[in-house]
Amino acid sequence: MFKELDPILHAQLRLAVVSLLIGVKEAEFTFIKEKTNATAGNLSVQIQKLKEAGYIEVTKQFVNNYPQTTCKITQQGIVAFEKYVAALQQYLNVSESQK
Amino acid sequence: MEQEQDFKPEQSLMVIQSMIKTVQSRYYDNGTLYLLWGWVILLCSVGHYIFLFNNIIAHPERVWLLTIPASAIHFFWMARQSKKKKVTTYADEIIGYAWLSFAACMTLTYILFGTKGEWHLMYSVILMVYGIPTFISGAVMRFKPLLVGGFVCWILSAISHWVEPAQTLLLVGLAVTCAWIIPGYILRYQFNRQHNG
Repeated sequence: MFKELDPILHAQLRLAVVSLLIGVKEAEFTFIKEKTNATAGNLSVQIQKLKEAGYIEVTKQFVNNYPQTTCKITQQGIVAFEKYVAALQQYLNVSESQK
Repeated sequence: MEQEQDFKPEQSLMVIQSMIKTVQSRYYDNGTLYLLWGWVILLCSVGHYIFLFNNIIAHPERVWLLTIPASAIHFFWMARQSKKKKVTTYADEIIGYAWLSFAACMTLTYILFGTKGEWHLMYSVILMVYGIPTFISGAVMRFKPLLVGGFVCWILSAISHWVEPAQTLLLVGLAVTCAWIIPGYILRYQFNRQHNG
């Protein structure tokens, strides 16, 4: 029986954001945008979805009069990512054995 | 990277791998602080040694006062960098704590040995202490020149047991050359290469 892939994470950009954040303590919006090659609008929407799911924390502040958005993965996000990877491995192992 | 409708599990794996690799492959440090402190300590140690054997200045040990403006430059640079910083890695945090422990140990070393005039012992301990954050930084960054540099500091600390007290100053100069100056230039080269293409 396949574990269902988490629909929040099973989307290219959201998965890319979480995969980036899993390896760092925190990252700025501009860094994530640069690394994922996403548009600012699309990235904002996906970050908002991840935030609503409780997978990431978003901090907004002003630095030198410029707005700065910082993202950080939450414990809930880490658990969800680990479950997603486990489900993915299961899926890929079965696909491989069927070849 | 736009949203898509048919996102296959195989693609998920590729996304995860590429993003993790993106973060891992970055050289965040351009070696500025290694070069700053490497050159300052080299100048102070060699200067101290030279002034010990002639009468140019009455208190040769005062060359170490150069570390005060160096500390000011260090903090100014750190403050400027923190404003520009777009990402903080766990590696940054570990390295930061390692150097904070180093600063605490250096202060204690001065209080325990320097204030009692036990200069020879103090420099031997300093050589040992230099090796710790250098080795940890090398291990965390997976950067061999720092690992080797840290190890060299410990070897020189052991050697200092058999040399004349004044010559320990030259060992300090050699230690910072191997542990900070050479790795600092290698880091700067790799950082520039990564960021300029």
